[in-house]
Amino acid sequence: MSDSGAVPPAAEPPPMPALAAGSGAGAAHDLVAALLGLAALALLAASPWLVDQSGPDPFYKGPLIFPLIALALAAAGAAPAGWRLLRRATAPGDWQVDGRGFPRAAAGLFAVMCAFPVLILALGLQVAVFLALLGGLWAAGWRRPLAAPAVALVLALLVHLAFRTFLDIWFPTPLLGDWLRL
Amino acid sequence: MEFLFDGFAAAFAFDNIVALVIGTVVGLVVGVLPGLGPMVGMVVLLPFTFSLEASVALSLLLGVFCGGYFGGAVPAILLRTPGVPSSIVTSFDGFPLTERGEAQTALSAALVGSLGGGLISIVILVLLAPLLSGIAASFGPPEYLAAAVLGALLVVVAFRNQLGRGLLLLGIGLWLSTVGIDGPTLSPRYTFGFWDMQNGLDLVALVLGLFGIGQSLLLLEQGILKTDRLKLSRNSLDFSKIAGTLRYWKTLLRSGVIGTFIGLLPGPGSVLASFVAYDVAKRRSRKPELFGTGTPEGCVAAEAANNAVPAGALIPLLTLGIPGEALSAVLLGVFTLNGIYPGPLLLVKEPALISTLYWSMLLINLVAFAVLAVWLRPFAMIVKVPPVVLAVCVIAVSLIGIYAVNTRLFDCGVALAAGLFGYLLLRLNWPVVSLVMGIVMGPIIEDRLRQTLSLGEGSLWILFERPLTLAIMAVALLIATTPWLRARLAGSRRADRQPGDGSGTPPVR
Repeated sequence: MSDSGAVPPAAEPPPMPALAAGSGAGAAHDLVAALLGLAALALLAASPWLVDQSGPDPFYKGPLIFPLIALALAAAGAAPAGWRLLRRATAPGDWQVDGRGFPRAAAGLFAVMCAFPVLILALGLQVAVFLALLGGLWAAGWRRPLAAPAVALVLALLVHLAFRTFLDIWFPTPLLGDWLRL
Repeated sequence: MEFLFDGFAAAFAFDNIVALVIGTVVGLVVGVLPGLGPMVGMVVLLPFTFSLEASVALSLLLGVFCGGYFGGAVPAILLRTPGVPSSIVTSFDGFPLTERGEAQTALSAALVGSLGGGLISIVILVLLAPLLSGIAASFGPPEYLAAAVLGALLVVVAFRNQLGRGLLLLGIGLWLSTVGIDGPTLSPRYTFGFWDMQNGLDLVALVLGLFGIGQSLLLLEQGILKTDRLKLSRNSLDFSKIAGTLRYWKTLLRSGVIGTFIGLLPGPGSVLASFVAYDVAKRRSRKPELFGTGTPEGCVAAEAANNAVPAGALIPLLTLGIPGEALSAVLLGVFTLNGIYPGPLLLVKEPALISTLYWSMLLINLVAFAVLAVWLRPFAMIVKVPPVVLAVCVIAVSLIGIYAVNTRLFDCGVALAAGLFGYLLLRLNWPVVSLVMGIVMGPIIEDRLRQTLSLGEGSLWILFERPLTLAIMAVALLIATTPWLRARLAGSRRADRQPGDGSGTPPVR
């Protein structure tokens, strides 16, 4: 287990256990590995066109040799998974990453957070933080009419204090300000 | 050793003290919260370090690194839910003590163990770093290449049951580090015609995405806290219990040394350190039968070992420039972003910085102990914060931090993409550390490879012609194969002990 990874409780099994890594259970692991390996192979093949080779001669001093080694390493790492995938008849249930189905909360929050940087650009830091937090909490399923706006407001204030007042970091003028001036 | 006092004033400077206290408190918070951990704390604070001096930035992040291990013991003891993975060993004895109404005894043992382990490891770091640095001073590009490659490979090998996935992620990480303009030749690589890609993929955005965003999305899916079982008799630590804990000073000393030396090795990290120290303590104990039923000695062993790991991990980082795991890889990133390149000459070139780091480590351990001991209940209560609120706040702050660095939407996009990838990998329980190692080590390995190939006129045989590279490769091979050989040996011994059927067929395992 990685030091930075999620931690299951010692006594009780977590409600959403990841598949036993390395157990070979679940074709999802092999499928992800094989797809990544295929992408690495495609990049490996396309590398001569994706890397400008007008650099120095000989080849070993050039810009292409290291990416080729890296991609070959990735492809080699994925090869066993690809081989297993080709040889194994997979039951439909094996394709589930875990038994909890589609992660709606994570997907919803991720979608809101994708819009967040654009909101910063358009509306400015503080307003964007307030709206993104409100939307993020709602998308993640935390729908408390009083607590959610309060949390959003507190974080917006803390962000303003940390980034603008304390660190004095420059943020571009919100586009909305430009539009309103026009 | 005179240089030790060069950084004394810098370590006790106001801005450094503020940074290390903030870092330590953040570390304690993310350590107490199961599902986050010090890595999330470090990457969230990473964008704040750009406006700081190198020593202050490192103190801030080292505070999170060490504080995280201190904090992880609290939920492990009170809720049997480890805040950081290595604290799972602390819960073996900590939670039974809590159930018997002796939570204060368990917490005293864990905190004294953490402090003792941290201090022992700093002493070893101070003594060992110059020795290793002296050896590394005779390193040329081939030696560095051998050390860097084998360091990265050892991290992959540490996840023995996921060798293929580790290699795959290492390869992807190395490749990601090549995107953008190649420094020596100024050739664009894998930019796909996008202007923004010419600067490469920002290290901070990638690491923040993988851990800050990926881990937070995962947190949403985990309802792992049982906060109704918090049992604490008072707000602060019961200091009268500390004297009783000091009876286990031999265990503390031994576990601290074990933790430091395991921290030295790339890959295994604090989980292995805790398990090994616990096992050794149990074997050496006069009452081994008490282990697992609630003995403070078990808490001391586990916490001393896991808290010794950060200083142990600093030894190869400072002397060779090779991080042993993801947390020290982030520290390496901070060094290089500040134009400081760890290696054998670092102790000669930057003695004040190194000295400041040593003093800061010492202060961090003392601050973490004091803060947690005095505000034990408030920190324990942090686990009551809803994971949804935490996840949303961490992602929002991560994205603001990334945007603040260059005010580029592109970096936020990189972080979000990395976050999605990180979420998938964490959910699959893949070794994400291999990916981070690849991203951070990529530029270093590429530089050394070019220099080595230039020295060897295109041939890598030069690696086999130099005694030091051969020695490095032999040591790494030994470390990589020892557990496997030991397992084979144990297997064959078991087979010998079992009564055979005369056919010579090995028993089915």
